[in-house]
Amino acid sequence: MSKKITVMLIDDSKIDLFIHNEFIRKMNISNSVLQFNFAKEALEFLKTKDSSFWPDLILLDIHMPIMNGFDFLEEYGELPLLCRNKCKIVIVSSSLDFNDKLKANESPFVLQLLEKPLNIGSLMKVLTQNNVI
Amino acid sequence: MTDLIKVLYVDDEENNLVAFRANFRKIYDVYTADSAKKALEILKETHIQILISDQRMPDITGVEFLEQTVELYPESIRLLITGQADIEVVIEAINRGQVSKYIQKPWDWDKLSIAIDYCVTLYTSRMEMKNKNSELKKVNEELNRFVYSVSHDLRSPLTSILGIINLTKLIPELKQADQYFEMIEGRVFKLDSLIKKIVDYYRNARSDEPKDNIDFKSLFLSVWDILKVHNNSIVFNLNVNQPTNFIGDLYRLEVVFENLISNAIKYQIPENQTKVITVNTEVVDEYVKIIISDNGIGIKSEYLESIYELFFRTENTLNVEGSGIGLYIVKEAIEKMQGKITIKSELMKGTSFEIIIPSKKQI
Repeated sequence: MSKKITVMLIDDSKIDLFIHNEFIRKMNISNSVLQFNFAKEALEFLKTKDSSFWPDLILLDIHMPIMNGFDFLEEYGELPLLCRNKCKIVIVSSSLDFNDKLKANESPFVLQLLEKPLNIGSLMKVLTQNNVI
Repeated sequence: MTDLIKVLYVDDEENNLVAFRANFRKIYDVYTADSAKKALEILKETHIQILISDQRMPDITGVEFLEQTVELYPESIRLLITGQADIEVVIEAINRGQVSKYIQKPWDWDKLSIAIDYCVTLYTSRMEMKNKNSELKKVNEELNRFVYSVSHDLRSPLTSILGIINLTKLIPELKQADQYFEMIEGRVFKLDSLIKKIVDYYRNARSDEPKDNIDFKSLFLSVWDILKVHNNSIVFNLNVNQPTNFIGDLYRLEVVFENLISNAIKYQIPENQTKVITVNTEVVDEYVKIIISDNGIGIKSEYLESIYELFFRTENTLNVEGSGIGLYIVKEAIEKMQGKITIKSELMKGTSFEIIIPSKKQI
């Protein structure tokens, strides 16, 4: 559990970005956290940067303007396999729409949907279960 | 005035066509054709509402012609005119040609008039229903979007606040303020659960019947995972015996379990050394039987009948956060699944709910 991972946070709420960043810091699993207010920019980052910049974990919000979490997942599916294999996605959302949960479960790229507020225990569990850390 | 109803009359006898046109041209927008072929050409170009055909024509019968129009113009109303009073023809006309009205030759104008009138009424009421249905569908979809987006926007700031409070717990210097943060947290939980319950209530009132494959063990574990943060001193005993698959409504089951287990957590006796919630689940081909019990504060027997009423709360629960919506939703959800719920409870001993829900599995 000593390996440090790179984490990408995608959330339209700056406060939630801050909270998730603090959580990741407290969990002591990462030395590098990339924060994006817009899913589009995050996608652009993945498309243009080379593999050494790719994150190991993406915490993705669902309800965001311009490009929402599901739009992001759709375009994410077009990225090279190498990239998709590296970046594991956990959805973090406060949505009460049951269809969102079903859709998240159906996506092959999503490890799990966690409800906001994030708590360290559940995130840790998902990450260890899926060998992300 | 609105546009005239378009009526197409097909008959190989020119005289009939002329007479028909003369008689109805003021009331309807009349089209005529002396063969099925010409009629089909007119239909291609004009949206005809009422289709009238003679049965006996040289190359094709009226029924055969009308049958051809069923698939292409399902909204049009069909009327058949025939000389032979042949029951076979009538049966064919109704079954194959989807004819709504049948007139015998020689026709008198009054009878024909009434028959066409009837067809017009049929057409307009069908159209009205169709429009109302699509309107209803649209309104429903909008309501759906509205409910989910409002609830999400209401919850977002709350979950941020809870997230920040979670952060404060990780900072030793803030230990002194713990009590205050807990108070804030309690109030936010209350508001958040109210929003969740309102959405549950809304969602439950809808009448869809999903058929999900239910794995009870993982369902209970995921519910417990979310709820246990509210009180982590409780022992959760889960026994699931599921030798066969169960088809049911995942959402409603989740709502039921979430509410019952969250109640079992909330209404514990604080002084109890060991606080226990036990869930026993027995799945067979036809149904599932679930017993959820706790050793909490219990419910006075005189209240047992009222607990499923909306906004009902008892005096010994007033110091615990609650909205009086939960059990109402539970009962509604179980009834929607054609299930049954019974309760046994003893004051200061505990409460036990027994639920039976039929499986939608095809055996």
